[in-house]
Amino acid sequence: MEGFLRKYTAIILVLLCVILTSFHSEVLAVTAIESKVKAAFVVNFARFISWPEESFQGATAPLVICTVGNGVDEAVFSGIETKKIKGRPIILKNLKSLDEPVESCHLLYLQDVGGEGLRTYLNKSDTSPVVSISESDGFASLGGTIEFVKVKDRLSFKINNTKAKERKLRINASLLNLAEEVY
Amino acid sequence: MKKTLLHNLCACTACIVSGLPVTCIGEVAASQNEFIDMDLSQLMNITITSVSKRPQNLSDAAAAIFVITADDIKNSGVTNVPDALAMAPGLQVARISSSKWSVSSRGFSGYTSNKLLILIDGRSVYSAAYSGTFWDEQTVLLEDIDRIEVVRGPGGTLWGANAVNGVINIITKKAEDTQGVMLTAGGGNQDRIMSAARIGGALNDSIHGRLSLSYNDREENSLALSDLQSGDAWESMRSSFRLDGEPSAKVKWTVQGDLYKNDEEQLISPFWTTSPPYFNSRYGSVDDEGANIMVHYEYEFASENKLTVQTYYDYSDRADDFYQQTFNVYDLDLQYQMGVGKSNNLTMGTGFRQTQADFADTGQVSITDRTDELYSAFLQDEITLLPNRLWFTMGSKWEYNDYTGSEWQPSARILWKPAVNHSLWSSVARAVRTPSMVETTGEILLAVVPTESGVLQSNLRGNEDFQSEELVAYEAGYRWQTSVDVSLDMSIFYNDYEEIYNVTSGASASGLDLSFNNGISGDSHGLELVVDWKPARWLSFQAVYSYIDMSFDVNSSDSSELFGSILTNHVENASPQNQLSMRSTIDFAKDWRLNLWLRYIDEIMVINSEDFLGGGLVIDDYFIFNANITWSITENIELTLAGQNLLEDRQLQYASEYTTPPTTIERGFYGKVTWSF
Repeated sequence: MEGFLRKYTAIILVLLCVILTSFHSEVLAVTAIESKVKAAFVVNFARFISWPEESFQGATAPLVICTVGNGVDEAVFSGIETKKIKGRPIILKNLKSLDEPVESCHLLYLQDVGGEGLRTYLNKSDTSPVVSISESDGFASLGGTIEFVKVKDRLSFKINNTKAKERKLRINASLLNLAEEVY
Repeated sequence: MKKTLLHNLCACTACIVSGLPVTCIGEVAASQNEFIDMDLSQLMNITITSVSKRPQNLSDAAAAIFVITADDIKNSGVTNVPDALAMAPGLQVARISSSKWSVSSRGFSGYTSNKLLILIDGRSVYSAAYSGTFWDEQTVLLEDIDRIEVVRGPGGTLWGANAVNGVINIITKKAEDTQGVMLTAGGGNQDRIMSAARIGGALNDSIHGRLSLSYNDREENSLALSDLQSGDAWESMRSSFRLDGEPSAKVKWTVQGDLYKNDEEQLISPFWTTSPPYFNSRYGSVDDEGANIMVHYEYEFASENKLTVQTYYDYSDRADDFYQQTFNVYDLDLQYQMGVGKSNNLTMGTGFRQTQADFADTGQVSITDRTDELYSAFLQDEITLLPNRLWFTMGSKWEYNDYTGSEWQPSARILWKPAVNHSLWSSVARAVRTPSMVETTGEILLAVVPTESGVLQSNLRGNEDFQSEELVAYEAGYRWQTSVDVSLDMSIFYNDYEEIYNVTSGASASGLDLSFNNGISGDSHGLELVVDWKPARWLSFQAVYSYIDMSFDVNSSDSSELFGSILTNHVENASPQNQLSMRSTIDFAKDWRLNLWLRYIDEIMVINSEDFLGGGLVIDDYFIFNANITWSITENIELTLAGQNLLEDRQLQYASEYTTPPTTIERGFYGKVTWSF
């Protein structure tokens, strides 16, 4: 038992080091593929959605993508600052919590927000033109705009077009066709 | 300043561990999201599992799991299931002869290795006769295998007794994934003939089916201690079918079955006779055949609320000069999974198995015919302590068997994901191996000794009081999946064994007979490390390192026993302490792929069946190098040329403790054409 302890103390130390370095800010930015693919989806959704004109300050005013929640890692969006959607630059905004006003967001990506916060958000009577996106089970059927779902190890999505219309959002038919389910 | 130094020091250590220069980590972090420029249809076609190399839920498992994928099997160039297992960490795989292997998990190597449970699509192929697996009966067509899940460490809570040191689940592809026709033909000097035909079709929108036929013929090898042929040629045939139905979103069913036949040759040595010359060897044959059919039904009431019913019948018949058995096994399993509240996920199940075993007395081995019944029930709860961060799983299986009565196999596991790519887990579990038929009522002829007063026999006899072997295992592990190209999986374990089998004398008045006993206890500890690195789309590496140290003693009451120390020496030395496997796949040109696989196996010392009391046979450490090249001539036709054991003319990998004299495995070459349409 003593030999065992001695040998493994070294291993455990090395392990601890690996973990410590992992939390070094640089390494923390290393992210899973799934999060990156989801980020790419979010940007793509914007191409298929029309917002009412009054939600932009002008023809070249930026499109605002907001993120909120514990699971959000802004690094997965790296590279989008250089992209333009229908001539509009993209601005990324990280909200501290859902209590902050979301009216200025065009897309709101809720990641790992927690059941309580999510329910409060969905129960708000607010109908501002914000596309809400989340992977929480049942998000779209409960009034969220787009819900990520996994089908046979591939990512897909459900859309609640009824609620989207209430928010004066127009979702292109080709996006609706790609969806797993449309409410 | 001090903190920075610590960070740098740790960064270096981390990089040594993960085999990466420091700059790599920074670069990965700074790289932009490579998926941003893809359009929706491209994004929807990304398979999350294949990109991350392993199924997504792997990082969510609080156990030492390794998955051998269909691609891994294809790239490795292996021609049978046990050789494919050599890719996994923590396993000891050695070929004894063309149709025999020693496959074990975390130690206890041997032809009769007995602490590992093997399942094919959930059907147990563990033999209750001797607690091992007849690998020659598991001739599943490799092209039909979807993946092989290798779990090291106890799996008793879910899988029941005998999953002491691990569980291997061979999972075949869904019929939907094997549609169309596939024909393969090949041959070489060792794998003389390799042929298979498969046809898959859809009966309607919701029912898919397939039928596979395969025939293989293998050349004999040569004896280690002379240059004689080892008489171990092996011919096998198998036909398998599978039907999958999904009549609604809630219901899934599968009906599948196999029919197989093996014609083998084997050299039995020693083969004791009661008339001169007493000590003999015999070239004999093995006639082996079997069939099984299984029905699997799943009903999903709601998400996280699922009932599974599975039943099978398995027939096998095996006859050779040394040993003859006929088995009929019926099995029924029910499992129900249900989410309770926000944070509990309960899985419960119950099972029944009846094993009818008939043995014929060969004069070498005789076992009493018997019918055993096994009842079991289990309950496991996965508790989410912090959503997406911290989980705790606990449960236990209860089994009632005809040998030792009730057996409990509890486990507790904890999983912590401090960040999205990192998982840390730890577990404590108890597992048992219940007595086998040979240990209870068997009789094996060990020696025939002519004396002045007549011919005396020494037998190894079963012991009705033989108890279950017990293990308490402590494990911990860490997984790290970087964005694309590197992943790391490490596990450590400490296993505490009691009541392990040994043999003791004094079972009969003559004093020559031996009997099975639970006379050994001890512990083992070890480490397993897997590093995957895919620096480019066309290039990948995998390194697997396994370390184990075993220390066993005969319980003090029988410390004077000679056989005790033979067995403890065997347990301590028959499993290589260090093993390293390095594989690489290179797509070096369009339509061309090169696969390289180098293994290092540390020195071992094993019991040689011909010289049981002789202090053991040392097999020096050795390398095995396999390579193959694949050319996709057209979209439908593929050509493979492969070499195995390339470094040596012939290599002794293991020597069996029973019947088979030390046999060297010869260098092999084969070519193979696959045509699919």
